[in-house]
Amino acid sequence: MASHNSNDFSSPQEAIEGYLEALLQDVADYEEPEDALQEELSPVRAKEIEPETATETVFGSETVEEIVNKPVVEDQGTRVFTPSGEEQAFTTPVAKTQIDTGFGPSTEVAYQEAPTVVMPELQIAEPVVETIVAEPVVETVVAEPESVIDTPEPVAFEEIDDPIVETTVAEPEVVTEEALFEQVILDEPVSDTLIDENIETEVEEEVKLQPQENEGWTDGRPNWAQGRFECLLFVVKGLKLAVPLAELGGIHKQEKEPTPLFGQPSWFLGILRNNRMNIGLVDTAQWVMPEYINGDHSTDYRFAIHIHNSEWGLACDEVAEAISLDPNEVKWRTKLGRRPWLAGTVVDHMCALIDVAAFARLLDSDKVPVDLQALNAGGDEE
Amino acid sequence: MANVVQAKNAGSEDPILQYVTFRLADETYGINVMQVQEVLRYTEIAPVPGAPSYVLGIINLRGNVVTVIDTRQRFGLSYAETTDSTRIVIIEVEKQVVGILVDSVSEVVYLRQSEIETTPNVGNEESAKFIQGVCNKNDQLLILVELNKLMSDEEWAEVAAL
Repeated sequence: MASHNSNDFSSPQEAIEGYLEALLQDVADYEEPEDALQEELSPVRAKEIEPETATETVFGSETVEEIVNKPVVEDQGTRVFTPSGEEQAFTTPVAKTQIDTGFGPSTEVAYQEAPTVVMPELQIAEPVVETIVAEPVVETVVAEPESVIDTPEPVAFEEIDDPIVETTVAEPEVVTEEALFEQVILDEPVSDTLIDENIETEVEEEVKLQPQENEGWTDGRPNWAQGRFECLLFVVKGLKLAVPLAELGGIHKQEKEPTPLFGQPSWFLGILRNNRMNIGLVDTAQWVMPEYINGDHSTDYRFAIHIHNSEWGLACDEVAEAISLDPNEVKWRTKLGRRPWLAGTVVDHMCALIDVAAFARLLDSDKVPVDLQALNAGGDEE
Repeated sequence: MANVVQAKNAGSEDPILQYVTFRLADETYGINVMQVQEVLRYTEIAPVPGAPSYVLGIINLRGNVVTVIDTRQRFGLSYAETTDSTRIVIIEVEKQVVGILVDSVSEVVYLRQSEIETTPNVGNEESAKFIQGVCNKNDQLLILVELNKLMSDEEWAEVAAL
């Protein structure tokens, strides 16, 4: 990835496009050739430049000032999102005159049938989370060969022998061993007869070591994205990001500076006290675009996006609109890689979709990196 | 815990604790009042050749030599000049009496045990271990410091040998 001067956001569109291209490249590595991706991106970018056609629905009269500091969890009825205090109206995603060709006309019809974005009650989200917790990951992985994806260890790949090698020959597009491994496992689930007892034991041990990978995902997408879902867009240093409302704990306006704690990494901005709770504030920019950030960048964020059921919040500059997405509109990640917080990218909106639950799990884990820029640099060298 | 105020809250499962608060780099910290012996105005600290970097030097406290710890350096904070508010807090930790240099000493606060909240611990620096928890007091976040972990056993032994 080309390095840029930090804080060089004079042309945010270029910065966003460059960033998303990098993300998409990661996500698309296992799905299609990059050329095809570029072709797909081109018309989308052209569309982005065009003014959006119309706004269909304005949500309510409640302002962000009113919903800020109010945990979303407490909302029992239909959730209403309104704009920031600058009199922006929260709107539904603008109706698209053309949906991305990959999604077909049926998507457009379905979208028009539901012009009003009804925010899900977060109580609905609770069972989803509980389901994730209740799901015996280890057992599932051992029982179902699909979960072998969670442990893309080269050793396991080497030990799964003949049938996979044959598949490798049949798939010339595969470029890396890891990708080959995942694709082989995806295309041809390893049956019990292919795994001898030793391999089975080894896989089981590896799963125990890495039980967190792809937790909360089913059929290649998060549990909250099995059907149509709603997201909140927010902006960090000019970059647009999205979080699923199902995993949004609340939006807190930063009335005062967070309290820093000594001995913590630079991406940890401190403790933000709000609504009688402490939120560990994360410098989102350092996580999502470490290559654009240096140590002395401004951290005067205005809002904190609180992750549901966690003590973490993502700092952001602006809270934008809520949108409704079809799962097919998202290019989902295929592996955790260096960005386990990335659920996928939404090309139509030129934004990255955050897997906030995975993000929170990463932050709570012992593996959370301290120096993100070094991590990023190390990853690029690989 | 040692600093339970028995008279105020005898037999309670949620004891009231007392903390001496001090300021350092615009943040407020609290230390167990039972470990504080006294608070001194800043006095000249005599440097000790060959002492570790976290030792500012020694002072003469009524005929006793007391080692003064550079709290800012220990907490990973930047250096600051002394002011009229600068104080040396004499504490007793690990059966040793040492002084810690702080920007100012504020007050003694009463906290309930249940008011103390844990903090995210994402740092791998040694100093991150000093934080016992945080507490919201008077609309301000108080960072509670565990003095026993201010230095390792080896470092305490090193200080004792000065």
